[in-house]
Amino acid sequence: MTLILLVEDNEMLQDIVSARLELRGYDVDVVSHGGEALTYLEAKHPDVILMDMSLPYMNGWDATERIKANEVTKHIPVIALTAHALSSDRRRSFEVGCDEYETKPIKFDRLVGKIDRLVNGAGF
Amino acid sequence: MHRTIQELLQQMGLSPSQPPNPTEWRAFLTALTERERERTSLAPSASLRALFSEPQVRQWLDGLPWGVGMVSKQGEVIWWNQTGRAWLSKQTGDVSYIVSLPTRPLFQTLRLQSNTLSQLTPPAIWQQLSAGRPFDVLDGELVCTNGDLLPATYTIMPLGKGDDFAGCLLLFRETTAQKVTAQKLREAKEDAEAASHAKSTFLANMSHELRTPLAAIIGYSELLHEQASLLGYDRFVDRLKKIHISADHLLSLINDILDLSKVEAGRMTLDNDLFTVQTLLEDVLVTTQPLTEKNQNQLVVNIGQGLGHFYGDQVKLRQILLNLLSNAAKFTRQGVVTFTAVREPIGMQTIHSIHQLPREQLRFVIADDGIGMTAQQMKHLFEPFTQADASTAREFGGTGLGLAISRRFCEMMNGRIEVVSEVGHGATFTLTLPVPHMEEVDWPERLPRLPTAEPNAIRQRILVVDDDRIIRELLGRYLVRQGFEVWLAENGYEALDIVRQVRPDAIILDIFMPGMDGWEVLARLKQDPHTADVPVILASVDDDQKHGFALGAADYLLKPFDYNLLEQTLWRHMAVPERGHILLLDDNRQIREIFREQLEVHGYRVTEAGNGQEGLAAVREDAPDLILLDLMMPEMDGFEFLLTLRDNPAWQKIPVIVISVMDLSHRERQRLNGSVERVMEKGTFGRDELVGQIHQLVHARLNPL
Repeated sequence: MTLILLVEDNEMLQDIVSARLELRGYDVDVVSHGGEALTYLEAKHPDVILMDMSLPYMNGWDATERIKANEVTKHIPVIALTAHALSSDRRRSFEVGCDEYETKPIKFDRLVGKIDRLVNGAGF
Repeated sequence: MHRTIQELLQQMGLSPSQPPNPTEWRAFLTALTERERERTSLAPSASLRALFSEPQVRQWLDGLPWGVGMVSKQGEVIWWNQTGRAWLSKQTGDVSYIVSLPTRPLFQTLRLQSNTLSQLTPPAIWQQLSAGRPFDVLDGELVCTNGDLLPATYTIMPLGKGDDFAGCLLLFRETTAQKVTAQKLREAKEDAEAASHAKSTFLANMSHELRTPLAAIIGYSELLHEQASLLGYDRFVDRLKKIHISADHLLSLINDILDLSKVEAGRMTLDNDLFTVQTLLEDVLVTTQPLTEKNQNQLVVNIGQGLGHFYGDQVKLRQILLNLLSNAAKFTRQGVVTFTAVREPIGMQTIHSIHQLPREQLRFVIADDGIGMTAQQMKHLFEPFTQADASTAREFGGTGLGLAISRRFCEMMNGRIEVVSEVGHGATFTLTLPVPHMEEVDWPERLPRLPTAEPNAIRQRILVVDDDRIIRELLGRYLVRQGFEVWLAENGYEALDIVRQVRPDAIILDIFMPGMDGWEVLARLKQDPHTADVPVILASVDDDQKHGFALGAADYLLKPFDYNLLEQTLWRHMAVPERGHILLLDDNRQIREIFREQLEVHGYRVTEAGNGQEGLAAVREDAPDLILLDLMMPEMDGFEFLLTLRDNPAWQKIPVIVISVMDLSHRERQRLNGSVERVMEKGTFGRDELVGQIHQLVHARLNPL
């Protein structure tokens, strides 16, 4: 069972995204901000992280940077979720180490395709 | 007014009602003074008082609508004309009312702070005046009798200088009205700016406020739709689908309205970056496919070769193309929608040198054979919310704003959208976008790509990934000299980003890098089907070849680089079969061998011939892109070979470089003139130069402008 960590502060999106992923057979854990994500990762390692970029307290970019800087967690693929489609945002996401990038409103099939590719293609 | 004054004013092109500028004033007064001196035959050194105490003169001066004050040699204002008196005693309107002003030192009349004179002290100013230097103050103040300040433009004009100094004239024009207007304009500007700022903030907030609940509606309706489908609640499925469709439509409307408002408010900006046109088009077509199928339409695609990449706002371009394609699909039933995309030079151009770049444009044509439009509809096509649009929007779907937005986006990119249509016979929309020149583009500071002389021509693209700046730059510049288009990345993330956007023909990848190392980059490249087939050549100080090949690397190079070996390796692995085909024509086998080796390193395919006849046979069999020719050959020499070669229209354009072991005589050079691109005398050129010439000629031949 593929485990997904969803880092998202909007409650409705938390509900919708996790429910739709669960319908497709994924396990989903949800946290509301970057700090919680880092705490979560001390105890548990998901197969992929969906990271909303605009989060309270610690934004998605900073959180990703820390996850990728940590030897223990840097191998976990991170998909950035963002409301903006600016090219500078996309660059920034890749610069901090995101493996993929998805703009809101999320096209679900496309997202699932990216998750599958990252999870099943990973590891060598 | 006396005729003389009138004449003088006319002569100078001045009108009494239009206050002159300081230079004009001075000229006028100088002329007047000269005339006066002539008329009264007063000596040049006559005092100002004498000059202007003539009642006639005072009368004239009184009649002028400008203030004139006489300043004596001692620095005191001894007389004002009527206008001057009126202004300084704050009388308005009736200038016949005479008020006499007491004599006052000049510097009590001028308010020196915060004007151009304020840097000098009164004595210093007076010294300059008596030396004959005038002063102009555009935005100054004069002190009235009651102490009030009068905003004014004034000139202090000395009469005579040095020993002949007779005093000055103070000429002024009050500027109260202008100052009030200027102030009002400033305030209006500030108000406008505040309003504009408020508008942007409103737009930005509204944008977020509107989209957030809508995202929830769309999201939940999709989720419930999925859940209901799974559980078999068919009645729910249908109705939930309707909510979803409406919510989607509402989102489109909001997006369009906000886009349009932003553009109209002048707040829309372009988000430019470098992207591959083909990739964008593929994405657009995938999105359009279901729309065309909906009305049983057929989509015909003609995408040209060499669309290359474009520096622009890909999100907006995508939006425009989707708009045009979805319109075509919507207004056509069981018909054909054709999409064409080409990259072409703009208009007719004279190219003077191989290095001069033609201006190019991207042209997209979207044609359909649907219902078409009337002339009336076409007139208002690009306007938002016109009569025709409202009804068509209801009948055919859409927001009615798409074309208005598309046109404005297009204009922002210096492009054009044109339409041709006939009722019942469909419509053809043509979108043209000029390709920005390398020099015009505002590249981000860290340039990922090295500039080349001909950036728009088609050449092999190499990505160099190395965290060491010096290695990157040296290798990069070497490759540019060899005619490649080179991109640089200093870490794995940049490399992956560049590969995604601009598909290179090969990658030279350093292994030991901080952050993401070469192994990881390689793994990711091979995982992604979009990038898996780009050949990757690993570079390292360490010899760990097995590992590299196992992970999918095409080859392995040791650092420090042997540039020849590196280039050979690149050509070996790139998908391009060869860089060009060269025919070597020389009777000396050793020489041919030397040249062959060199040219193969650079990716050329080489065929050889030992004399003119063999050469002709070789050309006949497989026409080369360039011929390296020795003139001294047995049986058929180089001259004869050339004659025969050029006789054949099919071979006339093949570039020839003559390599000669001896000095050619003048006569011999003449014989070659016109037949041969270059003559290189052995011993006078270096290997690099020859190779450079070859690159240039072959490239020009294979990429005709």
